[in-house]
Amino acid sequence: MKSCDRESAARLGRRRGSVSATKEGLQKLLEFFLYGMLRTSESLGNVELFLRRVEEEGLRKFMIVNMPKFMGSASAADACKAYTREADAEGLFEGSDTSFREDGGTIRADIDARCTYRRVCTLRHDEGLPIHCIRAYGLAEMLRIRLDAHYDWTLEAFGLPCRIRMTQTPRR
Amino acid sequence: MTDLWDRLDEAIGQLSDITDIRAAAIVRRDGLVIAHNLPDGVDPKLVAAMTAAIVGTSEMATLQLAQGPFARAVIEAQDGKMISMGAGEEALLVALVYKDANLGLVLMGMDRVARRVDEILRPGVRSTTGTETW
Repeated sequence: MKSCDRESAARLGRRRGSVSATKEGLQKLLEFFLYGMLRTSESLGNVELFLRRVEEEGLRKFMIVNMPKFMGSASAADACKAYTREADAEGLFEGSDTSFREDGGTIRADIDARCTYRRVCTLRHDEGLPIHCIRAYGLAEMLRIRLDAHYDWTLEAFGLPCRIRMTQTPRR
Repeated sequence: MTDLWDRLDEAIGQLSDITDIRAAAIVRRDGLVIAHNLPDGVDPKLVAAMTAAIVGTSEMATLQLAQGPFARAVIEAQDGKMISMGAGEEALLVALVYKDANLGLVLMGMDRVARRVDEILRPGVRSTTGTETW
């Protein structure tokens, strides 16, 4: 990690205690920005690129601050579990909302109704818009960053629970 | 799997045979690099992301302005051109072209290679990034 990254990470870490918004207010802000980001990326014509890059850039920066103990793992499924556990431990979202299982190189994740992004997905569903699972983008980018492993994912079902299938893609 | 990369390298190589093309890359629509022969000093990840953004925005623009299906984006700069186009459902093709290039020849070559890339990647090589509508 570059020293400037470490310094800014430390600064961000120090500021964490000084947030004045309520939990409900922060949830509304999250929904506001996520909804706006989804609509904007759609209007620019490439949601996959936009969301993948947002997750990539965000994770590269904020895994240092928000998940200092998460180091990844040799197994992709174990890395997904560890990442989710660490996100839970740091209070980012309720990690027990997700269960993972590995099925012959394919990772399957079930995320229940406690998902912090669910209200935005439901809003979009009600508006007849495609669902873009930000949790799946996050997991795929985490695997790319921590394990240098390339996974494509499919949201097989938006429901209770949401079902995500992640398959490894060939790379050089 | 080596065969897949060999065939993609071969496709890129076909573009290199056109002397008006300086370098080329095959990238995914979500902005990840598949194969390239970009020169040193050019970041392939950045080129891939920019190509995906250019094509995505261009496709949206042609749709919104009722200009029919998107064919290609040609960006002209002082020292050369950047041409981006689709290469099947999953991939895009981008070429850096010399400023005084024979565009007719370049576009013919790119169309041919784009079709070839589509053939190589089509038979279940990768699944799509998952976005569903209900």
